[in-house]
Formats: sequence, C-alpha cells, structure tokens
Amino acid sequence: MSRKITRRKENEGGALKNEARFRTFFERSAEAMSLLDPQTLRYIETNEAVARLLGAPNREALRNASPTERFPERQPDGQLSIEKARALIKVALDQGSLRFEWLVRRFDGTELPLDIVATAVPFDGRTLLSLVYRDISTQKHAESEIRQLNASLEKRVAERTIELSRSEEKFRALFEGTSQAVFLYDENGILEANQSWLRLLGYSNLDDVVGKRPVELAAPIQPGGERAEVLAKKHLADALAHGSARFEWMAFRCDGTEVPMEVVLTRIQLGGRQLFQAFCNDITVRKRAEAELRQSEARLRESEERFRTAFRVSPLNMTILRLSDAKFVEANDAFVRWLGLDRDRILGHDSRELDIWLNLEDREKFLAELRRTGSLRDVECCLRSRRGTVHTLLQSADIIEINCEPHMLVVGLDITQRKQAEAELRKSEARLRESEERFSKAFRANPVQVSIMRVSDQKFIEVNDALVQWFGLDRNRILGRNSVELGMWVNLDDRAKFWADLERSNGSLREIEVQLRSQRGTIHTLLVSAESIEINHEPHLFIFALDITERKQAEAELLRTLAREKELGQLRSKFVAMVSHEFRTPLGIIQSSAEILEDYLEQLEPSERKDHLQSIRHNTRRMAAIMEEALFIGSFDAGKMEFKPAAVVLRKFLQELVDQVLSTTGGRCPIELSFSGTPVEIQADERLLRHIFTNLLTNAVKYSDAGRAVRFEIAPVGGEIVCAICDQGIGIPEADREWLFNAFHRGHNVDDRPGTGLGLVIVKRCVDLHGGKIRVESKVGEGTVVTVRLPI
Amino acid sequence: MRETLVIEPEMRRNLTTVLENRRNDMIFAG
Repeated sequence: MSRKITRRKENEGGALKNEARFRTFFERSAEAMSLLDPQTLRYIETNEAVARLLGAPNREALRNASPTERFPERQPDGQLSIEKARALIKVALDQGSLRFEWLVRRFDGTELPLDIVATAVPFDGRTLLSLVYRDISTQKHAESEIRQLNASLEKRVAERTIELSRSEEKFRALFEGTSQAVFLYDENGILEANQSWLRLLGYSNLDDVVGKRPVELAAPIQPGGERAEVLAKKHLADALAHGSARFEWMAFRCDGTEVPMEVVLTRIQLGGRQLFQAFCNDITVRKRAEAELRQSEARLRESEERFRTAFRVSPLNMTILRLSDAKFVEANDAFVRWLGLDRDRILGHDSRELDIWLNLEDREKFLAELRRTGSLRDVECCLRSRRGTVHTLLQSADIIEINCEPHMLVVGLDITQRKQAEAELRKSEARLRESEERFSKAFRANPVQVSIMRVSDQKFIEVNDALVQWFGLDRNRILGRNSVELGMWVNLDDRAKFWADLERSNGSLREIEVQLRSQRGTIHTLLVSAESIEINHEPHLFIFALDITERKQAEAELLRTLAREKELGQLRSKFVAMVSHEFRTPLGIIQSSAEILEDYLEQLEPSERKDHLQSIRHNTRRMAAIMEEALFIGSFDAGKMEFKPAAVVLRKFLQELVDQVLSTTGGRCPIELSFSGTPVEIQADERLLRHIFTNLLTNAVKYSDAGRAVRFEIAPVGGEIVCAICDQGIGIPEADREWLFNAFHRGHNVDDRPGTGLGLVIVKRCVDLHGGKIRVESKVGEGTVVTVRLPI
Repeated sequence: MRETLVIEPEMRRNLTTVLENRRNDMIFAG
C-alpha cells in the first residue's frame, strides 16, 4: 500500500518535472506556438514568439484573447475568415492535423501571411489544437512578383511571336539553306535540324531525330575522357552564362560511326522558352591531321629522347665532331671519363690538340677514310687518355647531318682489357694445351694400362697403348665396346662385384685384384684402380690396371722355392737319420769283426776267421752300395744321367737280373718271371732298366715274408712294354704313398728292414728318363703292385 | 725319425764272440 503511494508520488514528481521542462521549451522556443480551445476559439496559451510575430505589446495582451480578433474580414481566396477558420478547425480535429496558409492582421494593422500547422492535442478530457505559425510574407511577396513578371513576359512574348512569325519564313529559308549543319533544341530534345546537319549525321528524315536529346547522338565518353552527359551540362551552363559556347564534340552517325565536330552553341530566347542553336562543323579531317601531327611529333620527340639517352648513358665512348675542322662538338660521359678531361676542355678542340692519337698518321688515315666512305666499322685504334694510359679502341664512325652541317659520330669501344684477356686466354690455352698434351702423353705412354669408360653403357671410349698391347686387339676394335663384349672377364661374378664395390666406395676403387683374359686367351691377374671423372657432364670411369701376373708367378716361384728349401731341410735330417742307421750298423759289424780278428786271431778257427773277413767285405760292399745310390741320385741332380738306348734282348736280360736279385737276397722269396708276347729285342737303356728292376724286385723281396712269391710279369700293350711286379708283402700305408718318390723317405711300417729311402727315387728318375710311367698300387698287409710302362 | 741301432745277426754273432773271448780271458787270468 505504502509502496503504491510512493510510486504515485514518484510519478507525480516526474510529471511535475516534465511539465516544467515542457513549459520552458514552449516559452523559449523561437517557433511561434499557441494552444487553442477549438470550442471557444480562444487562446489557452501563446508564447513570446507569437507575440513578436503579431506585434503584440506583450504576451498578456494575447492571453484569453480570441485569434478571430486578428482576422481580416476575408482571406485572400475571398472566403469569410471566420467561416473558413471554423471549417479548417473541423478538418484539423477530424484528421488530427492540418497545414494551411492564413492571413492575419498584426497589432499595427498590417496583414501578415502565415503558414500554420494545426495539431489536435487531447488534454484533460478535451481536445485542444496546438498551432505553430511561420511567417511566409517574403515567399508570398516573391510569388506575387513572379506572377507580375510572368504576366509582363507573356505580354512581350506575344509581341515577339507576332514579330517572329513574320520573319519565320525568312529565317527558315536561311536555316534550311545554309551549308553549315545547324539544329535547334530545348530541354525536351531536338526541335529542328537542317539538311546539312542530317547529312552530316547520316539521317534522311528529320522525324528520326526530333525529340532526341543531343547527348543521345554522341559518344557516351567524349575524347577528353569525360561523360557526354556531364560535358553537355557544362557547355549548356557556359552558353547560358555567356550567350554562347564553342567546343569540340564527338557525335555518332546513325550507322554508329564517330564524327568529330566543332560546335558553336548559342542560347536563344524564343516565345518565353529557352532554346539552343548548335552550329556543327565536321572536323574529321582536321582531327586526323592533328592526330598525325601529334604522333609524328611524339615519334620525333621519342627518337630524339632515345638518341639523347643512348648517347648520354652509353658505356661506349661517343663523340660528335664537326666534319669540316674535326673539332668535338659533343662527347658523352663515357668518353669524358675515359679521356680524363672535363667536357668543357674537350668541346671545341680536335683530337690532335688533345693529343689523343698515339700515331697521328692513323688519325689522318681514319679521317680520310671516313670522309671517303662516309662510314667506318670497328677500326682498331691506339688512343691515349690524359692519364697517359694507352688503350686499344674499336672505333666506328658515321657522317650525320646536324643543322644542315655534316658531322662525324664516332663510337669507340675500349678493348684493351679484352685484348689483355685475349692474350691471357691465349696463354692459358697454351698452358692448357701443354697440360693436355702432357696428360695425353702420360696417358698414352703409361706402362700401366689406362682406360676411360663411359659409366652409362660401360663402353671404352679411350684406352692407352699398354692396354692395347696387353689385350692384343686394335684400339679401334676396343673402343665403343664393353669388357663383356670383349670377353675380358674370366669370371663374370668378379665384374658384378667390381661394379658393386665401385658404387659402394663412391666411385673410387683402389687396387682390386681381378682375373682378366686377353684377346690371345692368356689369363692375367691385374691390379685395378678406378676413379670417377666427369667428361662433358657425363660420368666416366678412369681405370688403371697393372698386370701383376709375373709378380704373381714370381710369388708362386718364391713359395715353391721356400717349399723346396723346407723339403731340403727335411731331406738333410732324413739323410742324417738314414746315415746314422744304414752306416752305423755295417760300420759296427766291420769294426767288431776287425777287432775280433785282431784280438783273437790265434784262438779263432780258420773258418771263423774267414767268416769275419767275409762279413767285413760284405758290409763294406753294403756301405758302398748306399754310397753308390746317393751318388747316383747326385748324378741325376747334376744332370749327368742320360738316356742312351740300345738294343736289349729283354728275356735274357731280365732273367739274369732276376737271378742276380735272388742271389743277393739269398733266395729269400721266389721270383716268378713271366713273359707274354714280348718282343725279343727292344730299344732301351740297359743301365736304367737294371736300376729300375733291381730296386723294385729287391724291395718286393725285402718287404715280403720269406717264401712269399714275387711275380714279375712282362707284356706289350700298345706301343709300350708293361712290367708289373707283384708281391704279397707288408704293403705301403696310405699316408706314405704321397712321399713314395721322395729321397730318404721310408714307409712307417718298414720296422728294421734295412734301406736308404732312395730306391724308389732312383726308380722314378730312371723311368722318367726312359720316357715311361710308373704306378704303385698297394694295400697294407696284402701286398704291392708296381707297374712300369716303358715305350718301345 | 728312427735312430735305433738295429742289432743285425752278424753284429750279434760278433758281440757274442767278443763276450765269450772276454769271459775266457777272465777265466784264464783269474
């Protein structure tokens, strides 16, 4: 409840504030305003401005006054003011507002035209009218003046029209007959146009253009770049201001082609209307001529400009000299700089005065030649700058005409540096040539095989003499082929590895050992190095190959020698062992027998003495035999043994030999000698045969148990005599077979059987000397078969 | 490499002879 009261109080307070604000606005407003009661037709409120407007002595004079007191009897339209007022108030109340003009009488009695806005304002259950007044006396005054002026103008126009209609015919004849293109227009478009104008724009009928605005018949954008509409307005304003305007205009013919024209626009007052008359001159030809002139001028200017710029900034020395006295009239910056003298001190002088030419004769020749031919090209001249440096210039000259006087245009290019560079280049070329020659000599004459190979197809593009010689094929037949086509590789896998290695090592290989085959088929070991190089922007391979076959052979030889040396060492120790055994035993027997004979000669029976003496003799012979064998081997080594064939009666010879062996071995084993189809006589070396078979048979007997038969079979096979000696002895162990023919070597299973280890060596040497072959087959514990084949 | 002294029959006979004579000498002397 209390809140409601508070709210109302607040509202009341707000209304009061508004009311005050409104009152201030109403009273102070410069606008004349009043509040009218439409019922009583009395003012409720008027502000100061109303009082001022009506010329009231104060505001109080208007309060509760009726505006009707200030009405003239009638309004300008003749209605009674009071009636009209009532009618207007009704409309204003009905419509809510109304604007109308009203005439009032001020307090000083003068009449004042007002513009009134009446607005219905509901207030406190009634409807009031708010009135806002505006003084329109000035406007009204102007309007009345205009009306008066119009009336006078109309009168004058009427007079003129009569006058004009009289001269109309004359004027039309002139208008139509003139050769100048003329048309008339006003704001509504073209009114009249003469035949010349129609012809100019290509129209045949006046009706085609009447009513059109001149702008519609023009290029929308005029040559100056302005829009035709804008330009037309400007010219019209100009004509209006000055009576006439002259301008250029681009019109369109009826076929759409452009026609440039000069227009003289004149304003014409006709019958109170504003007309314009336009005289049009076709200026196509003039325009064209103008354009051409402009172009040619521009060209000239451009050419002149170009020449001037070229002359000024050219890096070449450029000078202009008068032909008559050869004095400089112009020189460009390059020349000034080159000469090292101010331009002022150059111009007006000739080159002789400036001491430019190294040789004056050359100068005379240059000038004379130029005068004679009118043009010189690239003449080498030696000129001196002011700094004293001498330069070689390539000078060209032409005779040109300046201001109707012949001049020389001389252009010079300083080629001193070029000359020096050329000399430098020549020198460097010579050096290069020399280096190239050196390289190519080194390449060609290199004892190492050098080749250049294109990487893309791996073909040889250059090979040196060493490679040609080694490979054994013409250079021409090597070049353009690759190593596979040439069949160089013994093993193609090596080649694949070579290229793979090369790729892995970034194109640089060092001393790879490869096996290559020459054209002759010989296989060589080469140490190959390769290096990638670029020739003509293409990858190539520079390959060096060193034939190390001989080195390899030497190495092998060395290894063999070493092996032999080692073998000799073994041989020596074997010899020592053999000697210690084979010599010590018979020596011990000889010594002991000799001592027994010496000490006990008296006690011994004669038969015992004889035994001892025989024992001494036997063992001496045994030692001698060993010596004999050793010496025999030595004679082989010394190359003293020769094959001396003679006729041998084989059966007889072998029979005797078997008997001999049986005798020396004391008949320990029987020897079964058999011949099958053997020729009676063969060509052979009896001494060698004796050695061969004595040894073999002795061995067979020695390594067999007593009583086991030894077979000795002889048969001819093909062109050979095959002799086989078969025993049933102890056999030769597998491990010893390899060393069978090595001196002093004996089987591991020989036990205490005497022997030197030289027997088979002698046999082998003899068989070899005889051109035969020997083969040993053996099985330990079963026996041995030795087969000797001798050619006959 | 063998370095044994092989006592061959002849050698054995000689040694036997020498030993027998030595024994006889000793008998005669003693």
